[in-house]
Amino acid sequence: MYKVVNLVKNFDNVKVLKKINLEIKENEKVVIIGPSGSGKSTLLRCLNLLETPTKGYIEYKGVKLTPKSYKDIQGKIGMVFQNFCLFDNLSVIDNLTLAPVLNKIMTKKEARKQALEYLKQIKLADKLDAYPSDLSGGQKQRIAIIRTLMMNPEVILFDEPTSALDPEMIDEVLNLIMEVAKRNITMIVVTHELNFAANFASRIIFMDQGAILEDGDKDEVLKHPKTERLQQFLSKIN
Amino acid sequence: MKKLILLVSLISLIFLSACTKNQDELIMVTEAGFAPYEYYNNGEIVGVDIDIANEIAKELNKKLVVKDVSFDFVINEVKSGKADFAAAGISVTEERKKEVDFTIEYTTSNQVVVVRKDSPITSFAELGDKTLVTQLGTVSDLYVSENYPNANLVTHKKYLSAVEDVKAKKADALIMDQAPALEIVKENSELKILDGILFQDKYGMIVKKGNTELLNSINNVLERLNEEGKIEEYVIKHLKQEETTSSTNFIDNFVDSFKKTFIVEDRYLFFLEGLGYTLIISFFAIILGLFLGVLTSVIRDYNRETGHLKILSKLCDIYVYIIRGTPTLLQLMILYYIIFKSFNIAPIIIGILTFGINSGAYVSEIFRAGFEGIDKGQREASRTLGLNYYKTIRYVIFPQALAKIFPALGNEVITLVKETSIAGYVGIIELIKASDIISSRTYNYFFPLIVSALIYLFLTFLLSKIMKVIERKLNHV
Ligand SMILES: Nc1ncnc2c1ncn2[C@@H]1O[C@H](COP(=O)(O)OP(=O)(O)OP(=O)(O)O)[C@@H](O)[C@H]1O
Ligand SMILES: [Mg+2]
Repeated sequence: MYKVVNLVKNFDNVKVLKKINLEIKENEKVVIIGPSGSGKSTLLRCLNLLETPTKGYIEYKGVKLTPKSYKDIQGKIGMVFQNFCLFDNLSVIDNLTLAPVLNKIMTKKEARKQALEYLKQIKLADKLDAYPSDLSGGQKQRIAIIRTLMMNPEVILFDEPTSALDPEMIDEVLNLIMEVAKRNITMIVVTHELNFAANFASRIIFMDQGAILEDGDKDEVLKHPKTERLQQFLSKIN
Repeated sequence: MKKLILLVSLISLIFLSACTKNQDELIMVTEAGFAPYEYYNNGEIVGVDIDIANEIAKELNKKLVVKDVSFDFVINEVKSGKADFAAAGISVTEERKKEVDFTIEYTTSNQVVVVRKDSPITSFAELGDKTLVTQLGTVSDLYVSENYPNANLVTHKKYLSAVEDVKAKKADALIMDQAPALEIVKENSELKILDGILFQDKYGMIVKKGNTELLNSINNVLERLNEEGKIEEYVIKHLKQEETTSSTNFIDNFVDSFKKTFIVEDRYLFFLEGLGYTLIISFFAIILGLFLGVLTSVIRDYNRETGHLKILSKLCDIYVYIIRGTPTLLQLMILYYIIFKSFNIAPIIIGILTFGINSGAYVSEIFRAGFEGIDKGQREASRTLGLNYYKTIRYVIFPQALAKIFPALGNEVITLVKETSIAGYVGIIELIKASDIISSRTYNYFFPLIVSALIYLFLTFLLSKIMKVIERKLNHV
């Protein structure tokens, strides 16, 4: 699905990503962990061109990602943000139907039907006409997740989807992500929730100072860390 | 979109119909606040100069059109060819002769000195070290600088505001033409005219330099009228002013002012006309301003987001920079005298363009701040959902920005409405010009001005109410 080749990203003169090489297969469930500032978000944002690589390139399904080729993918790479990013000016239903209707993936009617179905699944059907400002963080994030589903994505990138939530709301969001994981969608999740990672992931990547230090099967990485940095990181978190 | 096309074609239609210069017309320019030479009577400009101008038009077999602009603009009107000639009680000076060609002098004006009744000044000799006021552009300010070099000279745009200076003891004496001075002392019981005539001044009409054909025709008519004694006749005819009653009783005074301001000669019609023009100019200028402001702010935003349209975006920056960095009156004059110099476009169109283009720059800045104030996550979310720049702006960023900046936008609208008050300079009868016209007839400066102020206050009150309603709708509460 993804092939990252010699990816370098600098902000001004700060080297944030240092020659990353990475391959991700279709339908893989990947978790990225690492200390703050290690470049996890930056890597994720390069995968959908929210950041432009300084050097190197990224192939998506065999095609090099450029602003032009990204246009053709049109919403197939979904993203869930730490701070939800629901459209503040639109009601819940409009948040869900705006993109699929404007992109002509569905008619207005179809989109509404699909949106209602998803809302029922997450038990928020009564919030149909509510505005984001009326919702709790957990509700917002769950709606943000089904908003990406509305575009029938091939990939969803999650950047710390539960970091901005009150503790009692974390589980409802993680459960929904587990639910989504049953689908045939490639998912890449940046998170500090190691229990979740253990349940969800097929593969875990550990990043530090702009480089990938460990990359492998979840048990291997979590239970038998090879590097000292990962050992330190895991002991700090637990 | 359809509505937009309709609007554009409507505006260009007005534009075109206003453009056609009529060869059968003789355009005279003046400032109609100088009885008995030019003043409003029953909504029409009349006076000695107009009677003469009618004779000239008759001679040339043309239809006379009288244009009323601010006195400081009169010479410019002729120089730029917007008017064929000017008759506005223009004193003949060497300075002006360099700019335009004068006709023969056709009337003599006696310049007198107006002081307060309780003033210690009794003779011209005592003026030397006093504060003297005159009207800008008349010859009396030249006379003062030459003959009373130690006097403190203050020039006013209108002699009626100069009168107020004397009444309020801000100035000691006012130097002006005898005819209007007589009216002023009739109206203001605390003022008097010093005995004697300070100096005599000759008035001439002016034409564009080199237009000897028109100059000769006018001179012929002036000579003939002089011989026939017609000009003196005209002066006497127009000196018959309405009776004034000067009372010390406040209520009587108020009732009297009210009557003179509104009822005599149906003068309330000036306020209605003023209100009408103020509303028309404001309305179209607001639409033009919003259109330009949104367009330029989106171009600048597009450039910031994508790096494309660099040159166009720079041009928008320059537009905003220039408009915000220069006074609106200057922009009005540049549009009127330079850009549209050779077009005979109705001043109201130029007013709309000026205030619209001016407001566009401020609206552009307001929207820029609005766009930048939206969390960048909104754009990123939209982008990851496959929405392009246009759709993102249209459905996500613009509505949010609009709701945020609406109060600032409301302020801009109110500012614009008030700023249209300078349109009077190019002869549009908006509210302030309306009050000027009335006070030039009633010799009462403040009463009509306060009426105009009250109308503005009412307008802005109404506008802020409407804004509040829309604002509530935008914030979906
Ligand atoms: N737009 C930017 N401009 C300049 N520097 C940036 C920018 N975005 C990120 N950085 C820097 O790049 C480095 C990596 O940031 P990044 O957000 O990718 O880290 P992270 O691993 O996601 O951290 P966290 O766990 O805190 O989210 C940090 O030092 C950060 O300050
Ligand atoms: Mg991060």
